[in-house]
Amino acid sequence: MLSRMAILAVLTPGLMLLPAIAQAQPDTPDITGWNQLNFTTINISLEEGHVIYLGYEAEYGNPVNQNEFVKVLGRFISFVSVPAGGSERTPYAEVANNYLELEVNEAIQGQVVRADIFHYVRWKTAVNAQTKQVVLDGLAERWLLGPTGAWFYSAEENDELLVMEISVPNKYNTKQYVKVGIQYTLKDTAHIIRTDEYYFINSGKR
Amino acid sequence: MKSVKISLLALIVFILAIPSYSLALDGDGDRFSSKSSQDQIVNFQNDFLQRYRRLIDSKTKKAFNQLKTDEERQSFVDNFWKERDPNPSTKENEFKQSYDQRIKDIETEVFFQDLDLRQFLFKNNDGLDGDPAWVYLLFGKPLFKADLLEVHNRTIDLMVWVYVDRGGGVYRFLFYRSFGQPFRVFDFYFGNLLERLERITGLFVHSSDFDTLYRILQEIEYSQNGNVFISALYEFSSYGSSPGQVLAPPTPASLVARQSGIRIVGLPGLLDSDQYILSDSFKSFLPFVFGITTDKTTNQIASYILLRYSDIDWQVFEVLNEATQQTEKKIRAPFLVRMTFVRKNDRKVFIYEVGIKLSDSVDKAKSDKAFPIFISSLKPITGTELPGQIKHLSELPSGDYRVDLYLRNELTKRYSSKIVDYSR
Repeated sequence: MLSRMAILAVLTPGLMLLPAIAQAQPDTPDITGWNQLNFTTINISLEEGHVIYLGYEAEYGNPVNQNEFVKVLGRFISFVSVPAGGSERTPYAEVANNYLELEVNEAIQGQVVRADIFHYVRWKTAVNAQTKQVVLDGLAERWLLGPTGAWFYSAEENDELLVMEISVPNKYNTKQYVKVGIQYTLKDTAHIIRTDEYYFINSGKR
Repeated sequence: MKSVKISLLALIVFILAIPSYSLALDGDGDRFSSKSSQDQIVNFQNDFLQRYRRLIDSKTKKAFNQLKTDEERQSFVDNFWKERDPNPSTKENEFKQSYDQRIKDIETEVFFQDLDLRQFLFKNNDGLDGDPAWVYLLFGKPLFKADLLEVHNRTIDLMVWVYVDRGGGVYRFLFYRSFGQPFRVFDFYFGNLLERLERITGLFVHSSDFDTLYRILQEIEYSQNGNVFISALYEFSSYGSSPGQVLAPPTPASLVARQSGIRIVGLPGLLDSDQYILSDSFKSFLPFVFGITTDKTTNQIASYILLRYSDIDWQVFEVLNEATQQTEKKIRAPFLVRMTFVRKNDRKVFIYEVGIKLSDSVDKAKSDKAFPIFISSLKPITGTELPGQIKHLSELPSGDYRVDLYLRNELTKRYSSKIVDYSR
């Protein structure tokens, strides 16, 4: 059994963290009514043809200020597409995978509307009077959703969102690692989007 | 004698049909301007059942014939093609397009003037009803084709069409005909080559015809493409199938896809809103606090997850209160917790996996109150012994670890994950 001191020791910082959601910082950008400039899914392709769908990336332009932009990263309930079994030379594999593509597109459409944005980056551009080139106007502002649900804000020079694929050992063969997701880090705050490796690992066959 | 009777019968049917066809033309001037339901049925018969009969099995035909209205028939036909669309993401139905093109090829005699097939016309081989058209409709243009005409004193013609599929499988369709008859596809892969030739020549191997059959076989073998004809006589397909099997109506693309093993995994089922109280805060993300430390007095691992009631998706269920004998509503939420410990110095892996069933009163569902789950006090759900699997956190040996925590609500699949360092 844990001692009371140990329970208190581990719980106290946690209880401090949860109410921290409302700490003072700029609100995340409101992109309602903004023009979507591009959209792409965040996914990881595995060797066997499986694809892990984790979220999306989209860029928006402010219709009022043509020089203001926001890029968002969204996460949805992750899912894995499992392709037709057998070789790609199997006569019907192509047909089957066409059907899979349709199912994937439908699933993405269904999940995007139920997605949570976990990262915003807002920036403005300006035309350099001397070079006539479009350059960043001021510092980019970044928001990253932390594990507790609190937003972490940063607007400093050289702030970058670090992106790293994460992999975990296969429980059926612990010497083998499988890609499961992506960790985004902004200074000390990390946000992970991932799937369950056992959606596509079966009894050590992988 | 039998053929004379059939011809007479056909003539009578033709003569009887002339007045009724004329009446149809005379009746309303333009028989297509105001289609009666009877006409529609005829059109469905011609345009669907007849035109695409090589794709329609007896079960489908029976189902179609039981339909009462044209709307039902049209819906049936639309669905028939939808199920056969090889690429549902495109507007076109490539299968139907290809099939219609093949019909057009047959009607326009695609092999007319083909140097490989001399004097071959579909219309002389029963047109769309014939065996060559049947093969062409299902397989299209062959990779290799050849004919061998006037074998055995000009009494037999042979023709071979060879196809190779993407998997490398070969199909060799051997057609044969006697003088004045249409080509028939050979489908008698029994016995030795001479016995197979019986079917083509009408001669009998176990009789005085033996020598003749042997000479015919040699004539085929030593002809220009003799090896292909002999191969086609010897084996139809490298898959071991017969022409009859591959000429059956093909399995619809959608069914092929369903049987191929394609699937999407990980998404939750439909959640009936009456049975669930879903969180307003996030849709896929689950806010949480995770802690892991070692109790220095007992040297035991102390690990916890802190969650807020209102962040959780709950399922509402009814339970009988034994004291009041009345049912009352409660909430529950099953969770999966998986902790993967990788020891940094030797990369040894320890996996701890446990299922948690949270349950509480309904009024708590929207509460902002936080509550802890002490992972170190839980019993794992998995009983299987897997490499690296630990049944209790206390089994974790000392060392410096990278800990990967994965927490998922099993109802809605909302999840969170965190990677931390831990030393024990």
